[in-house]
Amino acid sequence: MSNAQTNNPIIKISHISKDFGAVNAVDDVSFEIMPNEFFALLGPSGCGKTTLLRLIAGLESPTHGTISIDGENMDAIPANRRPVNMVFQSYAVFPHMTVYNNVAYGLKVAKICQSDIRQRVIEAIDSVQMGEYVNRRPDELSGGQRQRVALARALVKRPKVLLLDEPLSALDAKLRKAMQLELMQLQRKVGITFIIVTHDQDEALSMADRIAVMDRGVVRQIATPNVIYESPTTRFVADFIGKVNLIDAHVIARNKGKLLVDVKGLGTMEIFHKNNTPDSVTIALRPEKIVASKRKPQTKDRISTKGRVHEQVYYGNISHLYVNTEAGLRLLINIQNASRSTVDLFGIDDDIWLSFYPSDAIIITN
Amino acid sequence: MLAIFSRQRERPGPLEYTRQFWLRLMVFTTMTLLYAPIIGLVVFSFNDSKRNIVWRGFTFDYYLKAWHNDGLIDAFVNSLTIAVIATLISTIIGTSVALILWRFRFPLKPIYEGTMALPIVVPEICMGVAMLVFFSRVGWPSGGPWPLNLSAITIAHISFCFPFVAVVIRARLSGFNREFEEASRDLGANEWQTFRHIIFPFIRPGLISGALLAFTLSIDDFIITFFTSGPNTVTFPVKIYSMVRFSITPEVNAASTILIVITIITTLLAMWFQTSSRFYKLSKEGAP
Repeated sequence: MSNAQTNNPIIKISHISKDFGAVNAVDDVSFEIMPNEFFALLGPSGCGKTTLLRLIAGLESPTHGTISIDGENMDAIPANRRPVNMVFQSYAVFPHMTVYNNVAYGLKVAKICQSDIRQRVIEAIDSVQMGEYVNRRPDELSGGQRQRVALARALVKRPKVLLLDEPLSALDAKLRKAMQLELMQLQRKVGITFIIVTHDQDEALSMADRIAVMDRGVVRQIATPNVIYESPTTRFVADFIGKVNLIDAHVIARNKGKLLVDVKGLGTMEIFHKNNTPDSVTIALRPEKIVASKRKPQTKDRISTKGRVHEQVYYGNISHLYVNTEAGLRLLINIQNASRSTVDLFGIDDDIWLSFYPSDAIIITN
Repeated sequence: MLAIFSRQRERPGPLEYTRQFWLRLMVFTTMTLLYAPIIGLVVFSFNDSKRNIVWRGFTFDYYLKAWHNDGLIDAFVNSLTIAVIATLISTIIGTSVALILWRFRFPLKPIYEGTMALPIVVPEICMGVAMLVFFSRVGWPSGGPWPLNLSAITIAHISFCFPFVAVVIRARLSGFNREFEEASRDLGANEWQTFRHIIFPFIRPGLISGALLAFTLSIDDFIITFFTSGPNTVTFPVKIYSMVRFSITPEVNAASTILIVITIITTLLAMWFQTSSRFYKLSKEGAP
């Protein structure tokens, strides 16, 4: 973050809309991205995240609104003269060119002198560890290697912002994890802003400095991964990111930043939250915040309830338990399989106790 | 051939298509219908007989005779000249049409697309008559020194060749992954650079095979040429036709054989160019 001396945003999106016929792919979106940020656009398919990325790249033109990059209005600037470069979902590595020529392409069309091109291209290819493949053709490369070429090809242009459209979706799970790490290291090394589009919440949570969660063309929340996960402000965000139990609740009293709520089936509890909420709210409770035990928990600060295990799903490191409480709620909870015998602890139809801290419950208003 | 009619030792399995009687019969029938006359034509071009009805021994004489037949050579030169010019121009027009249809949206585009493909289905005899009437009505182009006197035929050839080029290139463009074009623009290339470095290499195999297709269509066209040629502008197929009207000597066979060889070679080249391309392997695979 050393380069971020100024507080001027590198990208400023104001009231951007994009209609495709009758469909509002992007609907009045405004936000700013700071220099050197690793920014993620996250959402289900069809939420408008890719369209927004293409609007920034200049591959689509907005129906309304303005995008400026580094303080410069981009309205009249075509894609080939914007200071951004993109890694396409299909990588779009030119099949009739060698790795070298692919990476050199953007410099050649800019008519940069031959010796500079050579030096920059070799440098870029080395930075993505493709040095030994310089003279290969794309049909001789694996998917992961093609992606590295696409990365080098974009970075060699020294863009102010690098745009990545679902860059990891075509890779297998192991390689994806490795590339996540590598992209983060690369971003720190080159010190430019990355904007990544993804539908994979793990990817966004683990890589990004900030996440914009999108749904049906609208940004639902922009925050750090931690805030997005632990303090979602809307039902959509809570539900889309990770697993969550959503329970109806009713506000009984409001007192200086605290709400006394009556949660359906779990009783009353006091939760920190701003007071200007409607009476009818939703409580979001992450499954890993609930503790399961054989015996009734003795602490007073935890809310506890009795239930019966309905279904158990084993994932290796964790298990999911679906528990029907006495009050008729169906709650999902996570069990850490901390010991090899943990899995045998709770079986289907066992009666167990569930408990959680009220401070781990999140109030969501709709 | 013997193997085809040899006795079957055991019943063929369901997937052993090559051992099934009906399949063999079908292959044999189609091959005979298609190639027996052509093979006969080629074989009898080496026949040492003036009347060319019974085989009387092997000779190259009639190829030599054809070589020394000035009228035939003139016709051959005419045909080649027309084919080369018609190929060049119809490739340019056909490529432009394909690119316009692929790249742009405009009113009445489906109608334009249909009219571009129409010469492919219009009967050649109608095209021929239409050309004859049109050129005689307009009175141009006619006469002039060689090769200007070939203009009418060349124009007629261009008009029926370029739709084929357009169809071939249009088909190839439909397999183009648009992200290549977008990536090129994103990397700073303007429209012309993108065309020159990305789109053109992609359509090049289609371009070459379209051009070779136009060449074969032009060099062996008889019907339309027949209506548009005059006494001084005889092409190779028209010349062969007029030779046949006098007598069928092995010289006619020899000339025909040469025409067959030329068309087979260009067709093979066209097929080879269409499949041997890196874009061919990768263009679709990359699409999301």
